[in-house]
Amino acid sequence: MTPAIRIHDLHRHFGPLKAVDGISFEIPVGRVCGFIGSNGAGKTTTMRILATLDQPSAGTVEISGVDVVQEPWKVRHRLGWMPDHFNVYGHMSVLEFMDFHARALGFRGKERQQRLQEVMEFTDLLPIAGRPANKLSKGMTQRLCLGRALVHDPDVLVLDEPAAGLDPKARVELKHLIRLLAAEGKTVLISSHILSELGEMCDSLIFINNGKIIHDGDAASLLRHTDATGGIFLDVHLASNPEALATWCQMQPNVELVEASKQGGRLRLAADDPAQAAALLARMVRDGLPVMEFHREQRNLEDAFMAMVGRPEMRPPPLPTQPERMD
Amino acid sequence: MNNITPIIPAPVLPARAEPAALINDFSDRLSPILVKELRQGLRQPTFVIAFLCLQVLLCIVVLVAVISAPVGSPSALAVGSTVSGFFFVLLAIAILIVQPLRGLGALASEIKADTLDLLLLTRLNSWRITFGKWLALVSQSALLVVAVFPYLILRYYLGGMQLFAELLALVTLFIMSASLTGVTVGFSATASVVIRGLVALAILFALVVGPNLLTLAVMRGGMGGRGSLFALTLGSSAEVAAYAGEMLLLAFFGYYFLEMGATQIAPPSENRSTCKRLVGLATLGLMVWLLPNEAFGLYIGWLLVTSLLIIDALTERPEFSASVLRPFRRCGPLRNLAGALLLPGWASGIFFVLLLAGTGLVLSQTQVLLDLAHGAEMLGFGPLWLASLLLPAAVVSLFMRNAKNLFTAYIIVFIASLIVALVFYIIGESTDSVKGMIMLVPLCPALGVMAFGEFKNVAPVLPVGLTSCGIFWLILLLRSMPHWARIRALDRSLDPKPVAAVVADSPDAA
Repeated sequence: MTPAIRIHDLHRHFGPLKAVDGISFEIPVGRVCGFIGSNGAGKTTTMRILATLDQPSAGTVEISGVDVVQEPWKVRHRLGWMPDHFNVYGHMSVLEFMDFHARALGFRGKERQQRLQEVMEFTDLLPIAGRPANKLSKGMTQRLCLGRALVHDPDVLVLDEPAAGLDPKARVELKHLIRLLAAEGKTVLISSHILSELGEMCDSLIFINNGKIIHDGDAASLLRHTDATGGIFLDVHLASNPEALATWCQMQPNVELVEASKQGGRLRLAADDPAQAAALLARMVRDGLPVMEFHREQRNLEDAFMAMVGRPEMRPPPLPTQPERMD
Repeated sequence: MNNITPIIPAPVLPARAEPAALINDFSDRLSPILVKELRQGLRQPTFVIAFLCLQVLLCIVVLVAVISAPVGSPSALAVGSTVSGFFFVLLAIAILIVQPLRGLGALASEIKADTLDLLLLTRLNSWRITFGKWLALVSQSALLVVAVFPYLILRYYLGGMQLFAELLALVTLFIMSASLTGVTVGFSATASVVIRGLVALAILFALVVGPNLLTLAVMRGGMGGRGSLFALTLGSSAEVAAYAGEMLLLAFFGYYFLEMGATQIAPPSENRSTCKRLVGLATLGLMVWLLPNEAFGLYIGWLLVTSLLIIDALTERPEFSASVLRPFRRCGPLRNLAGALLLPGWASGIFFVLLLAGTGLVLSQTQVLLDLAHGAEMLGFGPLWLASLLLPAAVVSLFMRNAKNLFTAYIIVFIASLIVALVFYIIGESTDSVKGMIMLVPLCPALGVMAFGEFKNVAPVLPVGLTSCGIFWLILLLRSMPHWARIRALDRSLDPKPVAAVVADSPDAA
């Protein structure tokens, strides 16, 4: 069966900058796929090429078997695009905005009215149909943007950071909408920074870093892979002097302070070995650290992602220097 | 979508309040972008204020006229003539200044708001977007013109009205307004505020000092002068042809600038160049057909049209996608020739310039131009003018090839070359050595254009002009080679794959 999205050896260069550097993946029909990467990793560039808004420097990109370069018109009929930055016309109400896009997508008369009714009902835009489109909350604006992308009933949806800036309620609603769309057989490629939600929502995850794919599979396989290579994460709370933890960690082999907190911090032990964790606790107590809490954390997608792309080096906070005594 | 449960149950709405049903179906017959722009434009304060001011001022003028010279009184004729003048001045301000200047924000607002991408993903292509925006502005201008009719009827009863001439003047004003609006809407796709500001200034300048502008002619006629209105009576076939030629030029410029704007916003998969170049050639043909006896008019028209075509052809972005090449592959044996002349981008533009130069050469050899008073001298002028247009393109291709907007870069270099030429010309004039500066012409062809009156008796002026053209054209040809290599690679990518390669590429094979 032809995959909904097929990318083969895609390159996109902007002068000397390789925004996308030879990525390849396929997404079967009806799957929800998360596209994850840090800022500048190449997510939006790839998604813009999928949406026919940019041209690849090399490689092939197909939507339902149609090449985005050779037949962009056909692709646009099959694809719904939700950009990361979405602007609306200030003079239009929500209904007028949807109506304009329905007209521009070729809907006429009764067919347009029916389609608008369905989409606005699905995205819950009916209660705000008369509101000015530029006076909506972020969550409502995202629903409007999703509604616009659904007007022509596309087979494939490309959603670039749809959950960015949404409150928890709006995120839950968006997640629900996406699951409903997947249940309807639509293929969804979605990028987001909220990795835990992507893990629940997506059938597969693609991690991209510096224009290259570093993982393509489901969340479980990702966690298994990084657990095997990524060590143990430990949450440590001290009764007093939490800065001492950072200094202590610097002197320990195979231990890294991942994140400092008010009470202590998160440590990463290089080996996935409970005996070594116990030995570490013993050393802490022996060295006089006032340990109040010490427990192993479950790995999450964010840790897995950071393990893959490499953490920024954590440095201990500078110790206060003793003022020179003025004799 | 029918089978999906909505996230929140849809509110129960009264039958009449079903929002989508409230939308009027009449507008389905119009372009979506026109509907959107009209909804927006008719609410804008600029239009509302212009409309109300025009109505109030015309109302005052008519009232004052009727009170000061009642219908049938001896002074009514003179007053009627003055009223006509006021009509056209006020209308000209509204539709030749206010409305076209509004066009400068048409595409710029979409670019600034970052809404073009979503538009281009619909069935609207760049031309439909640009044309729709222009049509909305022209429709509003038409509304302003139509709203003047009741006052024209009142003015008719004052007497002394030249009905046909004044109606023709009204139509001419409207066509000029539409053309100017096309120019400004086209320029509104240019990101450079400086360029758009210059366009605004150029329009104001042209309207104030342009000696051939009919508005001013009509104003003078209306204010008590004679002759200007009579110029619009189209009494002879020559006048009709000249008028048709002028309107053709206005229509062409309006259309072409709109196409230039559409080209700026078009995605790489859309080809606007082929159509506009063909329309340019057709316009040249129509001009020859319309103006067989108007040698000077034909010559000026040819210069204006080809100058615009050349500047545009030499400043088009060279990037386009493989889908653009598909129609050219259907041209059979003419495929390479058609591609070399009509593909988007300045690489093909340099060959299109050759074709335009060829039309000039053919035209110069026809009886029409040879009959011109200074026909032979004019033949020497052509190469100098062409060289002055090629120079900025050569400079841009050598030193500014990564410029974001080639048109803006070209205009900057062109203006700089004009300034340099002007400085040399002034120095030459003050030292009485303009003729001696002919050796500078290959480096600064604009100097040759400015000092053509001095050079025309200098024998080498034609070879110097041709040599300049040749050098700049060869520079452009050499710089275009990488683009042609890329175009050939794109063309090869469209070749059908051998069966073995297709099988190897398929997922099943893996």
